Amino acid sequence: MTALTQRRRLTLPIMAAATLLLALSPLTWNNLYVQNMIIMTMILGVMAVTWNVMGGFTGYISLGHSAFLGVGAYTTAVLVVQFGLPWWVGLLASVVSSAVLAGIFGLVTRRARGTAYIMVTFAALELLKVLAMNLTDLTNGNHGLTMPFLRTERQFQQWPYYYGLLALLVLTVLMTLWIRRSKFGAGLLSIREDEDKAASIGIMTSRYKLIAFVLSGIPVGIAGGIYAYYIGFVEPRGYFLIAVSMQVVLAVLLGGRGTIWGPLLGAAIVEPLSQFTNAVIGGPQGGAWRLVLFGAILLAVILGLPQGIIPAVRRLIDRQRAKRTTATTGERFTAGALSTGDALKVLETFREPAPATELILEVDDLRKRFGGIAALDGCSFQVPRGSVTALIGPNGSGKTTAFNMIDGSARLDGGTIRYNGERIDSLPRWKRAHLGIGRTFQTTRLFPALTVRENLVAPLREFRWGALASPSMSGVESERAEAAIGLVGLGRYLDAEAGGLSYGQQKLVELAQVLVLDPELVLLDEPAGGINPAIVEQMAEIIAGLKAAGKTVLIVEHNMPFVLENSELVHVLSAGARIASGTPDEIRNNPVVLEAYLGDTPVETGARA
Amino acid sequence: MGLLLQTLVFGVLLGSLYALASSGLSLTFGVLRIVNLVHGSLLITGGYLTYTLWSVLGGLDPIVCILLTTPMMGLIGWALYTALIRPTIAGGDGGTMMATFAVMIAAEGIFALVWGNTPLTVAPPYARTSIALGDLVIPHAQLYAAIVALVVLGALGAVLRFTKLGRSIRAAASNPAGARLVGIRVSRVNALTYAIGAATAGAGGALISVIYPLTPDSWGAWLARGLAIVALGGMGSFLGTFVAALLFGVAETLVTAYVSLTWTVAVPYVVIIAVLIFKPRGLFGARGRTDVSTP
Repeated sequence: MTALTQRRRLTLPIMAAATLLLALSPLTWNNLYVQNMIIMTMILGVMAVTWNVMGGFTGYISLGHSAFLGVGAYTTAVLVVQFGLPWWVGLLASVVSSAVLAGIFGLVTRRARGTAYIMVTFAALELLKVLAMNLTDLTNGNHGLTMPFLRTERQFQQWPYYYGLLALLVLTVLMTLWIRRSKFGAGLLSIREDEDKAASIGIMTSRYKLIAFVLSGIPVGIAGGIYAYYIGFVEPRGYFLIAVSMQVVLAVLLGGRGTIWGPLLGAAIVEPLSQFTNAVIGGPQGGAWRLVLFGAILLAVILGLPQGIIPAVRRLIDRQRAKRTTATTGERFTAGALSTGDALKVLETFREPAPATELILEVDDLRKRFGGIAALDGCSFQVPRGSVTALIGPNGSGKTTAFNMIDGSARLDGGTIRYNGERIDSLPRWKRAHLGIGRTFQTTRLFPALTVRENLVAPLREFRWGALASPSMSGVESERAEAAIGLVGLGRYLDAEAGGLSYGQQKLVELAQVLVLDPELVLLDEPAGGINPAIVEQMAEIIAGLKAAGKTVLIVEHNMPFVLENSELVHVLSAGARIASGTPDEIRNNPVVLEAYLGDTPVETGARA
Repeated sequence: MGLLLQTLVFGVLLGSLYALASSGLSLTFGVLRIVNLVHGSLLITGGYLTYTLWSVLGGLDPIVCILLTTPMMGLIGWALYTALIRPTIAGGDGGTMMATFAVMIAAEGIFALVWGNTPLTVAPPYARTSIALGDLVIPHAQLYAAIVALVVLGALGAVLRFTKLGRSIRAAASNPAGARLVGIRVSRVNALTYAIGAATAGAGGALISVIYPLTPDSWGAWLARGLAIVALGGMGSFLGTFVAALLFGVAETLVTAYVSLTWTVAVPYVVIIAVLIFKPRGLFGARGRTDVSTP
């Protein structure tokens, strides 16, 4: 943790020094060759840093990032050359056009993830190239558009581009720094790790992606406008280049995907290398050799250094440091700093008082088929407000499927679900989280590559711009994270990677994550499954604490003693329908329940051998 | 009416060739679950190899060349998979796709270095002749290409359906872990599958070299067609790929005939984007998009 804060404290001074150095360089050393190299590096830098927001933070790999450069360049060129507008109108319009393109990419991700998204970005880039070639009235086709000269004195001729791009690059880097350290950034990382789970903790994934994509498209669009002026000429084959996309991907992977400085470092290696090979391998074969060389370098990075330079170096340093300091293992629990009730008070968010219906949840006639199997077959049950209610039943009786219908992770085929008296069965998943339904999973689904803190900061109870902008490492959000982790007694692990915790600890952290949502109804899927007795006991205490704080808890569980001890109402499912309900004592002595558990045929549906 | 019929016939002939050209992509996606961005480059390699054989061996018929290019491309595919693609699989979809992306970029440079930048075409005696059926004109080259494509596809289908290898491939595709349990060496089956995919590109490339000029960057058009066809057919469905290829061939010729040749190049990109957004499962696919898997 100290290493982390040290690094953070160094960031801004180093950045200021580097900016100053770059700003002073043309004044003291007006070398056009060097300036050109820095200009090209800054353009690649802007592209790499923004690609990283999509590909590194959010997990959407794009092969079409150079499309933003082309769209920005063409927007500026068409407005300036064809319509005679001033340069600044062109640049402003580039902001709009690249934002629109980014918005389209963002919309695409509603349907296309992973490989499908990669294919779409490739196709979009090529399609834009075809458009630039064919819409000759606007773009002059393959003949291209020649930009007007900006009148400057000869020795300063590159300065407007140089300083313009320097400002753009600094702003872009500041933006990614902000994203990475905000609650918004924690949400993006959680989308990368597990998009469906992210929705279940209230993250409006499509809106997050849209914002991220627009923010990362705009700087490249502006860079495209500047680049058009700098080169002085715009034509389809020079701007919508898949080879440029490749340089962007290479720069990010080489430096370190998902890091702040990796893309910049990568760009500072790739662009000079490209210029150097330009100079060394000239002649008609030069272009071909460069393709071979860069393809080979990209392959070598993917095969030999898949994490990139910065994470690799960081790991080396951490390993050295770990040798000297004691590790954070050894102690399994520390008593929470706050009692459950106090911690829940910290986590409390403002919300409209819920209607005082007696039932918080009414499930009626739920139906769900998977192929020929009816997982839920007319299942109905109710959950009284403020109760601890349990759903039990043999394997395959439909308990987890019922959870999936309630929290919205799967669509139902029939039936209704009412929460606080209102139907929620067609609402998207994040909306149900915003209404106050939180859920843990049978097999924990934390974001394993993120720290516990990042896991706890990600949940979002309501969508507010201010909330997105709030920092994730300090202030209110961090206080909430600390309260939640204190509640489950794992405060020591706040900055540990979630994937490194034991299974039982992960269960507790996932519960803490759900509690950050400040839910009214907490769904726990096998909270006591597969964990050691000490943690089971802790889990029981937490459930009691939640009830005392006025929350409603619905549990799916196989551990009978745990269920009968900790719940006040038990519903028994068998073959997708409810066969009994009652207090734990009534259930213990109910012959129908015994038959369902011990008999070899589902009750009431009749036997078919 | 004459134009329409002519266009449809052309489209179906082209579509048959497209079916062969995209079958390897469909195979590697369906079985290995990787989007093989090198496939366009493999096709072009097959075409260039045919050109070299044809010019070195004194005008050897490109259709006969298939007998040589197919095993050659199979070997290349096997080497490519074992050396460069398999090591990246642990890194997930992104890593594999980016590895194929890197090979694709490097391959363009290699083409230019070996075969130069001038467009090359294989010109057997029937390259410029055609059959006239009333108003209808059927070029020999297109007709032969379509017939050979169907024969090769039939052979591929028979291998997949009736041989032990084919059963292993299908088993490994539907459940790798289960296939391993019943004694199938999945990693070898995967390498063979990739090799077969590359081998189809050997045959496809030979046929392409007669009809289309080869340039170092022509992989792009073939990759785009392949991706469009595989997406449209439903990723991993062979029947879907075949039907989609025919539809696609017809769509391309319709656009060429009724709109303009300059817009034909846009067809694959429009198809890819439209299908993946509006019908991600394609026409026949069970699973057209990659979802974040639940553990």
